[in-house]
Amino acid sequence: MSGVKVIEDNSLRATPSGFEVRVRFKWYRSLPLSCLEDLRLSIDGEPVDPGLIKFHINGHVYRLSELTELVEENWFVLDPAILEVELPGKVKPGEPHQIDISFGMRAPYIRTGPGDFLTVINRGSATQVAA
Amino acid sequence: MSAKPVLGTTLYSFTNEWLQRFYTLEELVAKVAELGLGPAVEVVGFQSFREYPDLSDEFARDFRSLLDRYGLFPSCLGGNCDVGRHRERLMTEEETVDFVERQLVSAQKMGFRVLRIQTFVGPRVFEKIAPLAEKAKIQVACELHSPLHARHPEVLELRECFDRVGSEYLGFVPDFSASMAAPPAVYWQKLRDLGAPEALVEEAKEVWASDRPIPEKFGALTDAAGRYGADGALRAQLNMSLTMFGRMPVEQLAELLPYTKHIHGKFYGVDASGNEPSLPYPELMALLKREGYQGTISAEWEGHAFTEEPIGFEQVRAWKAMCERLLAK
Repeated sequence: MSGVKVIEDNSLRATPSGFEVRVRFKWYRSLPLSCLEDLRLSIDGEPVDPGLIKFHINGHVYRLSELTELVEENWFVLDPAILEVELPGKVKPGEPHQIDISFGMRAPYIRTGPGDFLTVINRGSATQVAA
Repeated sequence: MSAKPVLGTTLYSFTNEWLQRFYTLEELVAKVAELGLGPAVEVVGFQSFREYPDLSDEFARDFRSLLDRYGLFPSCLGGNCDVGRHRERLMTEEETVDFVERQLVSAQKMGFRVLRIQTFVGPRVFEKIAPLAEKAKIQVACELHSPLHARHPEVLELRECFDRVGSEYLGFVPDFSASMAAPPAVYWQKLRDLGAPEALVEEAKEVWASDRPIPEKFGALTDAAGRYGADGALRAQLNMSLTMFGRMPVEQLAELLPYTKHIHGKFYGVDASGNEPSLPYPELMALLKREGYQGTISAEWEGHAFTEEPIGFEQVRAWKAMCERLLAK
């Protein structure tokens, strides 16, 4: 029994521009991309500038800052998103690296107060050998 | 023999199997049929349908024929009003009506009889939806669970709205978790797993079982959480004792039945003796039988909030046997 993992197993991959990992969120239904909040990623304990992260979903590529406006595009509950990080040379194939990720997913239909909604915190930590 | 409810299941009961990709949508439906868990099948649109809230004609046709093939029928489409999807503002009333209308169109294409939405959209949105629901011949009904109950001001306001509009296409989907005997053991264990000392668990149990008004109970939990140094995750989980598990007297369900379009047969675990200790199923089933409820009830196993074990099918099978036994009395 493994369950759903925020960072998918064996998903760290070295790329020409840096590296990428595949990420899922832990909730029972799909949510609009506008509900993703405060994504933080670090590699080997060093926080990555969010401006260097691209978010691949549904065949589209977005900057994290663009997601806020995407109320009509959903992150399907079964799909991993690919987080592409632009840090050339940071990760080489065959190297082990520790990745830590956290982000919130706002449940836009579960009120916790006037104008406030439940935000589900997703956290994942994994050490993976890069492909 | 008296009229009986029609039993079925929501695919939401199989959330663990689905999220871990052990079954495709087709395989879930096939398994429901194979185990005799139908005939009524409920689906949470945003869980099971990739393109939701809009669905293509082709997808809808395929889904209908899938259910047909297995002798099942679509009962309730679990819709959502994502009023908080914009980070900076709430959906306007007009946007909310449009969002519900899109889901009504999808429900109609798929052949669902009921569209479940949330209570907080309020009477004004319901009034605007009524003509759309009548045209589509789909009942739009809001889910009622803790901390709401039959006589909660928000619910009384909706009852008054339904009476005033006088449409058979508006109503409620009561959830049995509004009337629990006690929160399930797996819930208290979750608090311990999040670091709650036994004394805090005991205090939370006392707060839950007390007759104080809900806002006071939230206050008491916040106070206890502070005294025991609970962190954010534990505090959030403590509050869920009041938002997931209600204490409405079973008898008040009778007041809701004239407005009831479908029921969520919430449960957390049917045990080896065939009973669900956290919910008063004998009383609930006796009331539905006495009142002649002939609508649908979905088995809604929500144990997946506390475990990722793929045991949805065995749980729903045990739930159905329990309900059939109680209804036969």
